[in-house]
Amino acid sequence: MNHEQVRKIRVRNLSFFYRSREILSDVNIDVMEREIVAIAGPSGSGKSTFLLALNRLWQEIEGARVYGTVEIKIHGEMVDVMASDLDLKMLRRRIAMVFQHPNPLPMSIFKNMSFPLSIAHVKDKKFIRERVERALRQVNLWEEVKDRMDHDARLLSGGQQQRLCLARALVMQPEVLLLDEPTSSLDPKSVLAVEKLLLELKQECTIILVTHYQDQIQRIADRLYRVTDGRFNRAELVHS
Amino acid sequence: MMTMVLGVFILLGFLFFKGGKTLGLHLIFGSVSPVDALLLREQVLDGLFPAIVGTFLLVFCSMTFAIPIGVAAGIYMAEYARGWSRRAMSLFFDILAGIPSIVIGLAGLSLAIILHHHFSERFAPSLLISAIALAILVLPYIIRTTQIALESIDPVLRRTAPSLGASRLQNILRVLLPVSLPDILGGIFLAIGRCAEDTAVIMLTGAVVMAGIPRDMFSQYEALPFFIYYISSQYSSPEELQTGFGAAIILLFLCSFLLFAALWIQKRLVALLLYR
Repeated sequence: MNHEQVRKIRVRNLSFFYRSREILSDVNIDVMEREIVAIAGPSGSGKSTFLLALNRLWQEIEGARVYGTVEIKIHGEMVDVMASDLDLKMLRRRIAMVFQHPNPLPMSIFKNMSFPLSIAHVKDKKFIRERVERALRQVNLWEEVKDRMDHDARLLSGGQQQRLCLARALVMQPEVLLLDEPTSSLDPKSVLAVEKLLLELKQECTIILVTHYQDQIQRIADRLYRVTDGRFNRAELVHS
Repeated sequence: MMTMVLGVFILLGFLFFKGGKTLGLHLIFGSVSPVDALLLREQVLDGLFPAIVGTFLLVFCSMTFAIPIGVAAGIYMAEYARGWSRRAMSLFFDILAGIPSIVIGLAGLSLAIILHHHFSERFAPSLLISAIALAILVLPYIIRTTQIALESIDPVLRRTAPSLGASRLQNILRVLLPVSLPDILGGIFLAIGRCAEDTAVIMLTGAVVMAGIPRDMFSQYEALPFFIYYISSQYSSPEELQTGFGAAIILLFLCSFLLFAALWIQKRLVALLLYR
């Protein structure tokens, strides 16, 4: 471990069960601050499930059970994610997630973007507008949607929807960004734009990226884990 | 599908053939001037106006009871109830849905008698008792449609708001309910129709042939379905029966009006909740 690096996430003996089926088995990994950790592996191996364990979104799935230790540094302090008295709203505002398939809420573009702020009871309209514009600019979507912010977000193209979801995750300026194949529905140009954005975001947050693309891993990841049948194994990165 | 459309047109044609000639202001307001009747300056004794107002009030009051309770129970069933309590309540609501309306009417009448004896003599078969009984009658529709509408939401959409830091209640109120509103309102439309047309419940709980416009919730009232039932079973001349068919046409118009009003409210509500 590099001495300058500070641990952001600590996972020990993590196991995930869906009903009687074991999805993740005894996962032990560390993630450092300001790094991009890539997680790769075949479909159904447990990559996406691992992300759900980090923000405790597994609780929303009936029949899911998780064992082990997950600790994440939030506001400078290590927080036990599994603690029963943990404020889940705070956790999920600091650990944002972008799903594999675009999931805009059935609302206007602006309402989608301001949703995380409004549920956090942010009232300052000027502040909200600034945050929304900044996040949309970060994902190169502002110019495309600035004149139709009151339109239904579901009418955007698949690529635009995915960038919108990424921007929505960024609006709260999270400390950890969980990305589940975020570029799978994007064209090559948008993929490169998102990768450039992730490299910029790395300066201010920690990113865990589930991806199938080996070339993407080589371009942006600092560390790689391969998942096979729910078991995580550290793999070497081959930079060209 | 074509058979159903044809059936509806045959029914409408039959009603208009039998009662079309009676349609007019006289059928509604009788010998009273419409302005005087609408401003409640004079009571209508020989027209359907009190029955139309009574039906409106009945639907409004029963839906005021049924919608909040039904939607809240539907949310509870879909989002909170688990295990044996969910199974028990499901069974209870299924049984409630299967109870004949005449039995609900009898229960309403019994309720009126109990309240009359133990609380106040003001309690008697009235608009209030009818509204409560009708609300109980339509509750299972609203509960089930709310529950099914919420349970059929895409799991990814269901997890979206929590992943952004929303509490369970915020997710329900700000995402799940607005998204499922059209389906929930489908159940409410059915309930409105049921309230407007049911006769068995109201004939035991407060509807009478001649009561005028109800002064308050404790008054007896007139209602179109009861008027139609009464005229068709006790008419003394073919002209009187024609009035019953005229009342049936007006009841259909009233239900259509309520349906379109509900659709308009739905459109406005969805726009207000999701796009403003």
